[in-house]
Amino acid sequence: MKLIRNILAVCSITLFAALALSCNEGTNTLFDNIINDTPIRNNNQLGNTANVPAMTKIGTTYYAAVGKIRFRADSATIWDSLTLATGIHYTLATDGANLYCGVFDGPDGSATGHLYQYNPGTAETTVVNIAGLKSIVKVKNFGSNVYASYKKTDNTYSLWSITTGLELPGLGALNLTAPIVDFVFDGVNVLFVCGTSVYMGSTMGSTAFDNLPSNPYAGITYDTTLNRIMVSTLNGLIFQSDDAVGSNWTSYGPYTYMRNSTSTNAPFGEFIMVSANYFLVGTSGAGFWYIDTSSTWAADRWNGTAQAELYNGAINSFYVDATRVFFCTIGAGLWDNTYAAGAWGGTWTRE
Amino acid sequence: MKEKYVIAALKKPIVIGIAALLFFQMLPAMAEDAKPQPSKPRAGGVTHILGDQAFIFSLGAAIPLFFLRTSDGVVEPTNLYPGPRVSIEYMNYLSQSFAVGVEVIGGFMFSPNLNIYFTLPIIAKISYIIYIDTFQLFLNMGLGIELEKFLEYSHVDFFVRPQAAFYLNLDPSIDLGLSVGYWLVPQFNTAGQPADQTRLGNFLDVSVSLIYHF
Repeated sequence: MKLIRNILAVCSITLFAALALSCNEGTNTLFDNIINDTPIRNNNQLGNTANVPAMTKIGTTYYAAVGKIRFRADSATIWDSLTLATGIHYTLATDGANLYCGVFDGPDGSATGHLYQYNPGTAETTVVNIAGLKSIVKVKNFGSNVYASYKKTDNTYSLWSITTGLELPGLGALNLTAPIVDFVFDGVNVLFVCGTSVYMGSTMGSTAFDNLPSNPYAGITYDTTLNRIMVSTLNGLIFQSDDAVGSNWTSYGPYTYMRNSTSTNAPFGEFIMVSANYFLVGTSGAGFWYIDTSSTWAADRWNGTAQAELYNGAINSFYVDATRVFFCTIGAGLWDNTYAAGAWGGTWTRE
Repeated sequence: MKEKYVIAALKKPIVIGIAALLFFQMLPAMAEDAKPQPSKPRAGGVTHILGDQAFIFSLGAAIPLFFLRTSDGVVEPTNLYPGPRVSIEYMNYLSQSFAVGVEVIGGFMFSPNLNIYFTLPIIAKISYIIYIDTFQLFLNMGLGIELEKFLEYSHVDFFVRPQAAFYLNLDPSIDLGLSVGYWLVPQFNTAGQPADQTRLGNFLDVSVSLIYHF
């Protein structure tokens, strides 16, 4: 009897120790995660595991690229479908009147693609003529100025202005061999990241900032409050220029987070400005991070661990509609919430 | 580095929990070595003596009450809905009025998003028993650890449960009763977690219980 009891004691101690040591601690306590597991409206319109690379809004209608285009009125909850062409619809922008959508003809990266223009008023779809186009990398608008990053048939990469119908001056001569993964128009110049360099393109041509170290650059934005440039990298760094033309840069980071008990550099991506001095930057696998350019400039990870799929998500892009921020994720659907006076609303919505 | 902190933070509940369990596991062995004392026969019921054993099976509900944030004393709603709980206990009588036991409880509760908070308290328990004709009132105090899981996160906390249980003696080997317990779960922040996230969890535990004496 005593032997059995001793064996049971040893087994139970071993079991408790094993269970305790296998604990998976988050950045917040377990009770805190429970308290913050605020309701998610989850009518599964776009799918909880949908890839939503981009979205935009024309008038009162939201458009989301999810392979095809889904759209809904901002006052509605039901998403309708729209297909402009055969193929994968994956990037969206608008000049205020027309929707621009990049479409891959085939499922793989070697496929050719096109940029389509859709007018919701007339329901007319036309192909945008881009000289030497092989496929579209990304399309973005800055106000009514629409730019497309694209791959050419000679396998180099460039930027095209939809507004002027021209390639950026002098950019073709650079023969860029890496995709232009992000770009921003500051009102005068186009700034873009390509491979391990950051460039400024103007009517005089495009040149790389040689005062920036080589890094896997992923995102770029322009702080219209401080008139400074910000760039992000896949290895957890944020660079900030001290003027509008990148005369000098300050590096921040690397910012890290714990994943599977390992410290990992945050793989940053696109930025969005949600209010003056207040930016979000997406990651591939660590949700999104805050940057307050008015104070410490430190990037902090959003701590909404209860919304686990967003917290650990890959956020490809953002869209801000007044006080509502949309999070376009890869593999975790389209999320949104209101943001006002430094605080998120109580309900996280997964469209 | 973080693992070190986590293990350090876990040491307290683990060590105290294991010590308590070992202590209570040793008691029956000590009881075997001691000479049983004759107990006074009880009118209307079965008399228990040192070394008598029983299993207690319970089925009921765990009702979340509130979290108390210790840094500023703020009471917060738990954001959980009540859920089912089951338990099994091995009990050993020390005398007619005292018993010790080890209990394993399993339960879960839902958040508004239907995420599940799993809980597995493992406690050592001491009971004082008051006999009222064919009824028995158990006043229990349990101490142990609680293994918890929510989303992808898991954690171990201390666990304290005062409990009262009222049983009706159905036959010499079976008692049926109702138990009401109060779970106190202090959850300390570990290194890397904000200090103001230390909370005291408060839950109510209501169950129907059956004692099988053997």
